[in-house]
Amino acid sequence: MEGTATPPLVVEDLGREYERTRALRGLSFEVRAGEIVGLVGPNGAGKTTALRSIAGILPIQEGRVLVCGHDVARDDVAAKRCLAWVPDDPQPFDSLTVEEHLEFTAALYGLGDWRGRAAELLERFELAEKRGALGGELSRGMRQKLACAQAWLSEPRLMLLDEPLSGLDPRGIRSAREAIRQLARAGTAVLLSSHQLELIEALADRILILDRGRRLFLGTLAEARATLAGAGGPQSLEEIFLSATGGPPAEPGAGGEP
Amino acid sequence: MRSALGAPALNLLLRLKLRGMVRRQVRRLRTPKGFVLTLVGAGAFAAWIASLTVASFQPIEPLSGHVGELRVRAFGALLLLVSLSTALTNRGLYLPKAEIERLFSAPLARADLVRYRLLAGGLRSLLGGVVLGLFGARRLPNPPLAFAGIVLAMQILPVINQFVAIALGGIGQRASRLARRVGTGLLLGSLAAAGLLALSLASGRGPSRVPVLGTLARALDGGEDPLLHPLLGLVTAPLLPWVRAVMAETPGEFLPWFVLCLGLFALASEVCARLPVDFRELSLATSARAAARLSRARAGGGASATRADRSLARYRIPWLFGRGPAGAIAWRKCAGMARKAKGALWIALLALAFLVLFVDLFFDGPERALGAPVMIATLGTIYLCSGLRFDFREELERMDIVRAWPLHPARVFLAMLLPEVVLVAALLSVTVVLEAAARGTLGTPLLGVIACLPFLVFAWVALDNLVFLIAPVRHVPGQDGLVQNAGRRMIQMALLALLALLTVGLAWLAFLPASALARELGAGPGGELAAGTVAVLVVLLAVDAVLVFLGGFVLRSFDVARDRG
Repeated sequence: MEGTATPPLVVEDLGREYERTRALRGLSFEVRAGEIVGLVGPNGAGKTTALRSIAGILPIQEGRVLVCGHDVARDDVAAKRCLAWVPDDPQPFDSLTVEEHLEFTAALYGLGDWRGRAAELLERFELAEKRGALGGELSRGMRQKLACAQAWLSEPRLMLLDEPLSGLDPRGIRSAREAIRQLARAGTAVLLSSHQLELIEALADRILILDRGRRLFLGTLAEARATLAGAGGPQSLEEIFLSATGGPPAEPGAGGEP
Repeated sequence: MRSALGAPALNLLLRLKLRGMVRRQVRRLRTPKGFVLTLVGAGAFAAWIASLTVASFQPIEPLSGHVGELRVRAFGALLLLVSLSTALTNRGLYLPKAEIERLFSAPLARADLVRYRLLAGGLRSLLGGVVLGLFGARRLPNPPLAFAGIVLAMQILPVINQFVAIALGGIGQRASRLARRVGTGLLLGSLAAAGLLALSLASGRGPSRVPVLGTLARALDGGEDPLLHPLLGLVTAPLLPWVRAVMAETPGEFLPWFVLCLGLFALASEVCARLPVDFRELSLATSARAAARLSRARAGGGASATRADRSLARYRIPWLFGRGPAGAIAWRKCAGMARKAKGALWIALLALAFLVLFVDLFFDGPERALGAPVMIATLGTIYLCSGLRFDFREELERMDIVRAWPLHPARVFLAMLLPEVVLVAALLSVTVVLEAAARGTLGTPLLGVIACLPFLVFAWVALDNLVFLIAPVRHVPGQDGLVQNAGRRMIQMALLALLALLTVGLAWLAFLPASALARELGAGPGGELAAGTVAVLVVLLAVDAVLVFLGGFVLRSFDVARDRG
């Protein structure tokens, strides 16, 4: 089943509808081993829906998602063993300590000899001093760091990150960015969703722009500049994003209202 | 500009909030589901009020004289104790999190904030007063006058509560912790006293098998016990004006007491508003604590809504269900129970003690050997499982995480429920054994009940969780959507009862032929019971297996994207 050349993530014609709202339409892309794909789009574009569908959290309504060759709709347990997911607003278990969260994750993913790696991750994500703190006592940033440590612990082949840096302090942002880079260097495929376009610009090998559930663009930043940018020369991802998704917000007093 | 009732802006806020509540109710009526749930909830509430109203016109021998006054005093003292206990645990001026910073930073006098809070509290207790009035007035000498007296008496409770909460606002941190403990103890003590009073009244005047119930019953019936009366009289003396208003037989007797109560209410409200205590810091802490509690309640409720005890985090939680992925899920649940359920377990033990006393009222013969443990097991399962909600009902905010776990949904379902089932079954087993040992009815029937208990508890918890996963909802009792949630809960309970009856019916259908077969084969009464028990166990095991399969199916199709408002 699991060929060496199979990309860790293949998404084919993924579609989803919420009651009467179309959240995703025919979304197709793949993420190769060691590659970081930045997922960007305006609010309501379908980024979180796409990530949750890939993670097996939402049932697949249309299309197909293959994680390490396993069809998420048919063999979700095998697919989930290959991936890790960091939600945008992690809710740790309020009765477990930070260290016990890692112990729980290790048992859930059947990891042997995890303690050394857990200690390393606690240091990396600046949680070492909080190892005895209960989940319910953690600040927003600490919750985010704990979710990252849990995700990193299982050494996944596919990492799904939904706004992983929100709530982090500057030091936390720097170490999380470095951790994402190292993860990709070690061969993990990373799908990273964020509104922080400078983060995507700095980390992503390719960029996937979604708007109203549709894929607007998939390619490198250079390709985006060539395809989507106007004649004004090199542009930032922010400018490319704004022009691709309907133009920049109006400047105050720039027209419209008298 | 200020009116006699406080700042106009705050009165406007109260009106707008009331209007908003009505608007939200109307919006709920616009969807078919909301309409049906409102219809069921409001219909049940209306039927209840109507039955109370009709019952109040039925002739009944009223409580009067010394006995009546004693009972009204005892009931009033209990209500006051419960109210004081919440004042000790939530000190300062409670304002919802959404309001507190805006109102504290607004140009408003502190006294006006207190008046605003008293008005809001008064509106809440008005409803409680009307219900209690309808329920209690018929038992009193002059029901209409008693109704008015009860409604007025209920209005003083939030004022006293607020007075104590603010007056204790200036105490230090250590005293504050002590006050919280005293408050919790007071609440537990009041609940225990209320239970004892109710049981003693239910047990009647005759000699009870439980001595304390008999003593209390005789004391409340006119006083054979010399100790209780003076004590009760002294403690409840401040309640006298309200007791006299409630017990009045004629308008002439009622009016002076009513006017006095009204005056005391106005005076207490004004004194409360003008207390020279800066409660802001304490109120912010109380509000944040209440908001966190509400948020935990919205995520699950029951014992799982309490905060994990930091001091218990240093103890290792044993991996009772293995080290695999399913064992890890069960281990996490065990950790939750060990660190959060302390208070709930005390209440559960108290409730089980009352259940044993309650069951005692029903059985007085050879049928008690099987009847008492079955009744304790049944009622105990229903009660404990509604309080100890360490299953899917506490996971609504984390269903996305649960769905992402690399485990078959049926195994997740099983692992989630097992620790709670083991705890409830263990508590009930110990209770039935102790009860039987105390009554000298230890024997084979008891063994049969204990053998079936875990499977029965599992079936109930699994059914409850299945219903929850099919129609989950975030709801906190007393908050928005009360009527609809009452309707939803009624439908859920009806469904649960139906499914539980079906399970019990199947078990009974298996018990009868198995024990008949054993009788045919010449087995004695013990053998018949054993054969029947084995048949019941087989049926329960099959039902549990089907429920696990169904649980997995429902969990697999659970849509985390749906709003559970």
